[in-house]
Amino acid sequence: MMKEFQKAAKFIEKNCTADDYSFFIYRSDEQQTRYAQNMITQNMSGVKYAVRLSVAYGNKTGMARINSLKEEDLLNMIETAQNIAKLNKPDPEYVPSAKKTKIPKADNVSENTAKAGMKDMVAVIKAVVDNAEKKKAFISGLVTKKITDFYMKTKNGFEGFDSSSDFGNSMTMADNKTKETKVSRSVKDIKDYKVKDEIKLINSQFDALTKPKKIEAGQYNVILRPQAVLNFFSFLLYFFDRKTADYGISAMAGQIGKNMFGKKFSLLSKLDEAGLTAGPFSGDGVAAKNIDWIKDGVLKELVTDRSYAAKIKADPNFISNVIIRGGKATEEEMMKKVKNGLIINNFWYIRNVSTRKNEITGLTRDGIYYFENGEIKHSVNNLRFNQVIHEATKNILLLGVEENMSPNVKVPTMLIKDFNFADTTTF
Amino acid sequence: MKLEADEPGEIRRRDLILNPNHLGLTMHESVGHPTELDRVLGWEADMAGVSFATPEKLKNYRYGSEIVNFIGDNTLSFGLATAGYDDDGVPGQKWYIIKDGILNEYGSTRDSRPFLDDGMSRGCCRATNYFDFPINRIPNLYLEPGKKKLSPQELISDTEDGIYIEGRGSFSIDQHRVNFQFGGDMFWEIKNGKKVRPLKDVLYKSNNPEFWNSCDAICDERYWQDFGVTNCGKGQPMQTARMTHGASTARFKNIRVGGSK
Repeated sequence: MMKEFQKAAKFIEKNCTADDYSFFIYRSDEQQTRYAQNMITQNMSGVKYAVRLSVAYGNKTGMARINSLKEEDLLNMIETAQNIAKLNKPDPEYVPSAKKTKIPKADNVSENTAKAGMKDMVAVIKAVVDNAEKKKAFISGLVTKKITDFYMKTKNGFEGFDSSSDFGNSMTMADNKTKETKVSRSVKDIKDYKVKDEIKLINSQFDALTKPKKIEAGQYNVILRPQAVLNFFSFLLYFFDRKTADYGISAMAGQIGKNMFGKKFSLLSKLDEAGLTAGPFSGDGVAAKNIDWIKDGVLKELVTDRSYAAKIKADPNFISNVIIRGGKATEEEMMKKVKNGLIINNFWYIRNVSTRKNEITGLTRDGIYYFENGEIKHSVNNLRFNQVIHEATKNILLLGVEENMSPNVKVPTMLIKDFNFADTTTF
Repeated sequence: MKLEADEPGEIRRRDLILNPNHLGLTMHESVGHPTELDRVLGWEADMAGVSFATPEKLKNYRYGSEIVNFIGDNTLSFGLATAGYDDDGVPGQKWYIIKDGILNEYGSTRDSRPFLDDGMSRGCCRATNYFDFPINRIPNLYLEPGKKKLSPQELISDTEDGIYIEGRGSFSIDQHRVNFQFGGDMFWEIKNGKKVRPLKDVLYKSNNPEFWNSCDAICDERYWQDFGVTNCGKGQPMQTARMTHGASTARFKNIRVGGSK
């Protein structure tokens, strides 16, 4: 792999005449098998490349990308980027390309996953379809295998290489009437994907579903299972950058160092977290490091790219992996902690309502259960929430054990009081 | 310019007047996606979702009021989804998806259509890149203009208690494409036929079939405008597609609208 990349890199360096340049070469070997309604519906596999070159003459910049390593194509890309830069207006945010940097060691690729083939994909699908048929249900989803190689180099001496692997299955089981639930997980090493465990989980969610009883909008205690936690807090990260905050666009404006979040909420990136991968460097040449973004409710840092870091004389950073710290509470303990509430498997179609307020909207999906006096009573209809993210963290009552959702993300189950549901649904 | 705008207050039922750009997104989510045949068949059940507009509703389900006509048109001049042929090799076509308010036909592909009947694919098969699965996509989709002469100003003058929304903002809809909540970019309160003050952070909540059945007026063809959606996310792995949506300003009676709570 590296030989192929280095050959292309040498060609780019030899032929690029710009004052400054930065480029990456990306290769991915992918297999994707889709299934729906208990049938395989589509399959695609193959290798694809991407090369992207950014150049500068003074502070006039240009960028071009191509999906080939052939020299004639690379030459075309170089000339295009250079011509754009020559014709461009000066870029006030231009900073010279990254310098030589010590990059942390990464162990992000699994040989087992690299060796996985169609047989492994079909084995997963056969197992989940067989299970769905036993349940007189229908299952739909996607099995993916992906090996990626990423090489980056700059004129100023930065050089980095990373390989990563990912094997995952996302599946929704439904009776095409009222029952519908989903389980999704991806792992670095295919050996860590236990289809029996995933079937057990989706069956437990499916079996707990009953004909939903009508429930109205209002504030409820909620137990957010890991998939719901992941989707909800992903939206926090969409506007989690220093520049947006400093410009007064996001709710994080002026909040660094303050107790913006609840004391039970901590979000961090950690390179040596057990069982978790971390990207060793960012796409603009920043080396990964351990960062407490939010610690015990205090906003400690925001994402800062090299350009903005230079402007405000701060250290650049990036999110190399995502950990939301959990606790030890079980779901049973959570149900006993409050008189009643809702267990939510997942959220769907989350969008911003107000970036300045940090308020988002979305709907429950894939199963919502009403619990009372420590036990699940029945399913209820889906609800729409309108909720300020940091206000929700102030209402966290209990945290469960962290769970790996993908190779570089782990989050816990959460019990949150007074979660705001603004509307009900009609199905 | 700093615009001072007021909060819209509690959610209550008022008339909505929506401009063509705003309507482009509303129709995309509440008409375009539910009438994709692959969703109807359950092929997108794991991510994008399914559809309430199931086959037994074809030709009989009242999707909207009698003045509501939606056309799928991949022959539209300068349309973002316009193509001589789709990724199945099927020619671009023009057809009624909603006719006089009734669900008339889906957008379909060569692999999805035979699961419905022996009709022809409507040529909606597209992949984003060479390495993506070709899937059933929303065509260029537009709301036909009203047949009677009517301007947006006349529509506002005819409205006692309402909100006029321009542009696009927050948008969210359930996986069956029934219940939705939309914001916008600019909001005006309408009282007794006049725009009286700007509002901010307005959201309206409605559902299929309430919303399109509440449409009681559509401005005429002089006010028809088309806008694009350039980032329609669908598929697994996610792909983004482009399509054009058009409309004239239209009114929707008695919709729940207000702030976020």
